[in-house]
Amino acid sequence: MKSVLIIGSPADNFCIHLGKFAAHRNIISLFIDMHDIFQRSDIEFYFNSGIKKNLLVRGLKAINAKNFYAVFPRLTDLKFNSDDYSTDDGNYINIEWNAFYKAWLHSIKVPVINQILPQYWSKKTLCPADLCIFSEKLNLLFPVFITSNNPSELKKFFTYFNSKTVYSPLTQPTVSYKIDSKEKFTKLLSVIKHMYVTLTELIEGDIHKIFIIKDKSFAVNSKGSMTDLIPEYILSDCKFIARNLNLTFSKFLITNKEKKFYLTSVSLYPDFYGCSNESANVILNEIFNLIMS
Amino acid sequence: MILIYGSLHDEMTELMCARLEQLRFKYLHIDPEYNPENYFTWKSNGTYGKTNAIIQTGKVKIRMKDITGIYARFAIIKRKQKIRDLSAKEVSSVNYESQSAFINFMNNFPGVVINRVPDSVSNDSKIYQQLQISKQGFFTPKTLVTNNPERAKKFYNECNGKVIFKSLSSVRSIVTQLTNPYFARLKFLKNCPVQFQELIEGLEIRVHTAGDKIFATAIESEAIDYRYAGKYKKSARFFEYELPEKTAKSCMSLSQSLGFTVAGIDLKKTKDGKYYCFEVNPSPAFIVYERMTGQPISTEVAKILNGSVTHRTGKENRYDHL
Repeated sequence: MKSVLIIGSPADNFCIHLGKFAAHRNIISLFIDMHDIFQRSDIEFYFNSGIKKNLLVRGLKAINAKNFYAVFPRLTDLKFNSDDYSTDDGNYINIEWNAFYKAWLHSIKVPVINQILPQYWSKKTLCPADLCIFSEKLNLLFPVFITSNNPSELKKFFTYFNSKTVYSPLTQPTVSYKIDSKEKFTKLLSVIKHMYVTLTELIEGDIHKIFIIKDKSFAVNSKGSMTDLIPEYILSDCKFIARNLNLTFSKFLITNKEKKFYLTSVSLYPDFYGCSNESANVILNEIFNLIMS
Repeated sequence: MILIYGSLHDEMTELMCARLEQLRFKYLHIDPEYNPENYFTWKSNGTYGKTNAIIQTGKVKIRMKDITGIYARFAIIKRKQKIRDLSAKEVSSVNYESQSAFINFMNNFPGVVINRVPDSVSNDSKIYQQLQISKQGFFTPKTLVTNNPERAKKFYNECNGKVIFKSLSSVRSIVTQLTNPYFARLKFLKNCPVQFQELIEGLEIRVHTAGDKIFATAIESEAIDYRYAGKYKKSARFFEYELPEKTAKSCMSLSQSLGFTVAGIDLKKTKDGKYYCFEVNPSPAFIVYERMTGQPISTEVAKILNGSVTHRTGKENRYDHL
C-alpha cells in the first residue's frame, strides 16, 4: 500500500497538517524526523552509469521510495549532532551526510515536493535581492533595497524612505528588524565596521499568502481565509517564478499597498502559519490530488 | 574594467591579476578580507527591481555598467583583525554575510561571471554531479556510497579488490586505494558514509573549458591521486592532449549544462579507448596545468572577461532562458 513520506520536524505545522490530512484521505503517512533520518539507517547507494540500487534501511525496515506517492523533505540541509559520533570533526560529517542526502533526494523516482535546484540548496526563503533577477519579466513590484557599507549611501536610502526601512541579513532573510528611528539606524551603522548591511524599504499594507501548486494558485488573506481578490496578473507572475525555480509547491508573500502588489519573499518550504484550517485543507487537498493523479 | 574578487594568497587570483597586467587589460582587485574603507554599494533602482552597483577601493570607483566580466574565487576569509567581543562562530557569520553581499551582486550581474556561485553548488554533492555526468554520455565508474562496512567489503570483492575511496562532498580528499590496512578502519563508516569506486586504470586527463575553447592535459603518474604525487614520492608528467571530437563535445556540453563559462573536468581514458568522467570542478586551479604545459588557459579566461572573444557558453544572466 502506497503512502507519503514526510522528512521534517515534529514542530513544523506543515508536517502536522499533512499527516492529519493524509489520515483524513485514508493514506498512510510515514514521518521521519529530519535530524535522524540517516543516523539509524544503513544506506546503500549504488550506481554504474545510472542508478542501480538506492536503499535506505532503518532498523530492519527498508525504505523504498517506490512505495510512496510523494516525498516531502522540509529542508535540504540536515544538521547532525556530532556528539553522536566518535569523531572530532562534526562539521565534515555534516557536509558528507548532506552531500548524500541531496543526491538521494534527486535520485528517487517519485515526486519530491520540492525538488530544490542545487542553486537554492542552502536557502529556505528567497528575498528581494534573490528575486530581482526576475524583475524585467514581471508586473509584480519589489521593495527597493540597498546593500552597502557606505554610510552616506545608507543614510540617503534611510532618509529617502522616511525612516521606514527593514534590516534583514542576506544569510537569514526570514529574520527582519524594523529600522524606523534615527537611534536604530545609528546603531545599525555601527556594524559596517565589520560587514555590509542590507536595508529594504518597509512595505506596509495587507499581507497575502499565495500558494502555488504546480500551475494552480490559492490566495489566503491576512485573516487566514481564502480570497479571490488578487488580480490574475499577480497570480500568473507567481506561477512564472515558481515554474522557473522548479517548485511544485511554494508560498509567496505579497503586500498590497494602495492596490500596488509587492513581492517580499518566496518560501521554498511553505508552512501554514497564519492560515485557517479550512484554507490549509483546501491547499492540501490540491497537493493530494496532484500526487495521486 | 574587469573585477577580480579573491585573496592574493590564492595562487589563482594572483595568476589572473598577473595575466591581466601582462595583457594590459584594466582590472580592479577586491580582496574578500573586509575593509571598511573600501566601499561597496549594490542597490535596486526602483520597484521594478533593476540593480546597480558602485565599488570603490581607495580612489578607484567603478559602476556596474563599466564592468565587462567578473572572476571570483571564494575562500575562507581570514580576518587580519579580530573582532572584539565576537566569538569565532559569530565572526564566521559576519564573514559569510559580507561574502553573501558580493555573491548576490554577482548573481545579478548581467555579464560574464566566472563562475556564478549558485551554479557551482552542484559540486557540493559529487554523487549528485555523477548523476548529471552520466546524462552527458560519459562512462562513470561503478560507485557505492554506504555507511555499512559489510557492504563495502562486498563491493571490494565485486571489483576484484580494485577500489578507491573518497569524499562525497566538495571537501577535498586524497583519492586512496582501499587496501588491507584500511579494512580495520571500515568500522568507522557508521559515523559517515564514504564513496567507494572501482579503480579505473588509464590515462588521467584534465580538461579545462574556457568559453568555446577546450584545453586538455594528460597526466602520466604512478600515484592514485596525481595531485598528491609529490607527497607520496611519485612522479607526474603533464602534457597537452587532443581529445576526440565526440568527447570534446561532451565536455563542452557538460560544462554548459551546469552553467559554467570555465570548468575543470576530470577524465580517464582506458586501454580500450573509453572515456570515464569523474567530476566537474566549478573553480578550477588551472595554474598547475598551464605551468606544466604552457597551455594559454589564463589568457583565454582573460579575453573572455575582457569581452574580446565571443563565446556561447556560460549564461550571461542566470535567467537568460526566461
